Amino acid sequence: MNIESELKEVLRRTDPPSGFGDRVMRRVRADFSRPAKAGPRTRYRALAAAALIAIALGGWGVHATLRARSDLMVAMRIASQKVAQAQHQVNRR
Amino acid sequence: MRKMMIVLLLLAPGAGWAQSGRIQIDIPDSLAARASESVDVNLDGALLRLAAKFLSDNDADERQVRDIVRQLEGIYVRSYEFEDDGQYDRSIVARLRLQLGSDWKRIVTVQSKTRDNVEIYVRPRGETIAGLVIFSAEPRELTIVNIVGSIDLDKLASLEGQFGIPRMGKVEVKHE
Repeated sequence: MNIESELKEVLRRTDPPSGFGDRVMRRVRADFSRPAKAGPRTRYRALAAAALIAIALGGWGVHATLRARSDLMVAMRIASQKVAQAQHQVNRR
Repeated sequence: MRKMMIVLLLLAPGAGWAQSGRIQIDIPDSLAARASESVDVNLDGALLRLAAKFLSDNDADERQVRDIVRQLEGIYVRSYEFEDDGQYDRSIVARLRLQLGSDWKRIVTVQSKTRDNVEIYVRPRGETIAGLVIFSAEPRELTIVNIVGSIDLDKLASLEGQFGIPRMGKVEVKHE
C-alpha cells in the first residue's frame, strides 16, 4: 500500500456513532448550568463591595438623620420666635 | 360652569390637606433665588419621629423640643430673608390663606404698615389643636410655618429665649 492510499484510508469520512450529537449537547448544557466556582480573590472582592455598600448606606442614614435633627431645631426656633413675637406685640398694645 | 369645575379640582388637594391641619405651601423657586437667606424645612411622619429620637436627653432645649414634637405629625417651614424691601409679592400670603377653610380660626393678627405683619391660625380639634399656621410678612422677610398635630402654643412660645436667642421681653421693640 503506498502512501497515497494510506492517507485516503485514514482521512476517509466516517459517520459519528449514534447519539453522539445528543451527548455533546447534553455536556454543553451541563457545563453552562453549573455555577462557576468562586476563587478566594472573587470572594474577598464581593465582601469588600458589600462592606463598601453597607458603609455608604450607613453614612447616608446618619447624614439624613443629622440633617433632619438640625432641620427640626431650626423649624422649632423659627416657629417659637414668631409665636412669641406675636404674643409680645399683642401684650404691648 | 366648566371653569368653576376646573378651579374646584385644582383646589381640592389643598383643601384636603387643610382639613388635616396641613396646608400646601406653594412658593416659586425664584423667591429662594432672590433671597439672601432661605429656610425650607419639610419634616413629616417617620422623619420627624426619627429626628426627635436623636435629640439629647441631657440638653434642656432639646428635651423640651422633643416633648413638643411627640404630639406632632409634621412641621413645614419656609422662611426668606432679603437684602432690600419689597423683594417678594405680598399676595403669596393671600393665596395661601385661601386654603384655610371655615374650620380654621385666626387667633392673632398683628398689622403694621412698616413693620411685621403676623397672622396665626389654628384648626381646633376638640380641646386640642389639629394644626397651626403662621404667616409673618416683614419688609425684608417672609415666613410661613405650618405645624400639623396637637401643639401647645405656650410651650412653643416658651422655647423662644432658648437656642441662644434673647427673649423678646429683653429686646427693645419700637412701635410706630
